[in-house]
Amino acid sequence: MRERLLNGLRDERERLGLTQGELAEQVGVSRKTINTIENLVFAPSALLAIKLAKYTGKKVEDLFWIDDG
Amino acid sequence: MNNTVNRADRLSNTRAIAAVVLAAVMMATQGQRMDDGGGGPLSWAITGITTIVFLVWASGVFRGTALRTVLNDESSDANRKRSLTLAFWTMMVTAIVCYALTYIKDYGPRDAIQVIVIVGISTALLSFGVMERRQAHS
Repeated sequence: MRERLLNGLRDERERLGLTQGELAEQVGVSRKTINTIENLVFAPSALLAIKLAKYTGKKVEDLFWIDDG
Repeated sequence: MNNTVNRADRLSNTRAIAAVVLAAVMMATQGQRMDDGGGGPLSWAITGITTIVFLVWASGVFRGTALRTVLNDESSDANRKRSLTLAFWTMMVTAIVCYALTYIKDYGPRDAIQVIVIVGISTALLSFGVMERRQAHS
């Protein structure tokens, strides 16, 4: 069984009314990185995941979770 | 959108296109040189200098720290690692093919080295450029 890292980043970003570029600027990455995380193409490092959680005001485990099904 | 992220996006896009173009030009010119009896030292020097100039420019070494950090962030780093891994395996397969071809065709080690190196560099550049472009526009 393959585990996947899912996330609610797009929902949280839209809730805050931010564009991908604005969120990217806040956490110091490119717009492409935010885009690939939202589309589940790229799994971020723990460092970036914590930065994103901190900026969106969520716990890391609420923003990112494992889908084992 | 902030200026740094905007500039990094534009540079990243240009870098991806340049990588694909350089890979295509390298394959075409080296293929042509092989048809002409193999690439000499001058051809290797041109290929080497062009590749080094591209890599130095693409790394953003002459840009500011903030821009360079965003340009070479972790998704670009992951793409770079994946393209190098793919290039390594492509070179391994090419080397095996070159070895097998020695039973059919008579050619020297210089030709084989040229083919293996060019296939490796081109694969790395091409795959990096395609991954970066695809992710930026998905």
